[in-house]
Amino acid sequence: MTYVSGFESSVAVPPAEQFGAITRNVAHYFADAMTETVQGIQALMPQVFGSSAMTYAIHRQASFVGTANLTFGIGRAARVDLVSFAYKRLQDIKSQEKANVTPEVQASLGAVLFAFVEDDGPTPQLAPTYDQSLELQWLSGGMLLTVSFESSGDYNLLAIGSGGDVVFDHDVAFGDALSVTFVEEVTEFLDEMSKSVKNRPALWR
Amino acid sequence: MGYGGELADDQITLHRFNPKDPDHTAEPDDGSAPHLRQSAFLWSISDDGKHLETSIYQDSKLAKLGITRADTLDADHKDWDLASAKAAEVRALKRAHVPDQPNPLRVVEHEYPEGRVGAAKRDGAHAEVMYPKDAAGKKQWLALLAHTYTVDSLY
Repeated sequence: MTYVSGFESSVAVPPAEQFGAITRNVAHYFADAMTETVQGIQALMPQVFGSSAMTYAIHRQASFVGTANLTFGIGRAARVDLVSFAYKRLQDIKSQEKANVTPEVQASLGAVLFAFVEDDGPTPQLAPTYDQSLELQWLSGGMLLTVSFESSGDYNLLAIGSGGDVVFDHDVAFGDALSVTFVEEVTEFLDEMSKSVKNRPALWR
Repeated sequence: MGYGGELADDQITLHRFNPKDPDHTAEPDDGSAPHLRQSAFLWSISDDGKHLETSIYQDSKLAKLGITRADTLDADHKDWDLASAKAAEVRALKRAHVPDQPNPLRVVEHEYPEGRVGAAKRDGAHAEVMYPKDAAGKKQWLALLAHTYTVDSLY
């Protein structure tokens, strides 16, 4: 089935006779995508997204933003879709055995995604590292936030500003909670980054 | 300058990457050119067993050898592209927030393989970025390194 995507860099306003078909396609898209998304997110962040109330909220949020994207197009993305994008990349990386994603790495990844992915924020982009672990990056406006995971579940958040300066460089031991102050610092950094979001990566779906 | 000698600060170094491999690059959400990431750098263990090393080429030497940047892409790297950084930029990388971690990266001469019959001309411009194998904070340094190399496209 070919779906109409509302997440491309530009979305032409369709002729009236096509609109009904597009709407149906979008409905199918969300029906299929949401099943996978919710299952994936629940697996990635079971402690947070396990409740039926939260699942319902995810569905509502994604449907609303998906509809908004058809109208406004550029760069819009719901939190759940951004997490889903990361989740699908994780599945690709695991299925191709490019990384040894230990339960500890997966738990830390889920915690980072839950803490920092927001509606219309920059896209969390996952890739394996040379030593078969994971690296998560957000990148826009000359700013970079990269999160490097160790197989133990320990991780590091390294942020580089648009001037090339290191903004923060923070190690986190597996299972440790992030301080409120640091969460705010990271969130402010990503909020600033999100102001320059215009496109999503080519693999974005 | 012989094997292992540091490259001059203003030497432009070139690194090969696959622009079609999503593991090699991250795409900025602002629509600008892709950025290299750690997976674009393939590391091998040095002859002395103490370092990781990754291949680069010295831009100025290519011209002296009578070849172009495109000649660094052999049949195994068809449709790949190049990113560049000056040696000084690699040496200037800092993790100021982490005590006792001075920049461990070296940018060194490494013509190779020396004297091999039929060796490609580009081997005369070969160099290495080296990293102590057991040093702390490896991934963060390599993330900084990847961010420093900017796409300098042949196309």
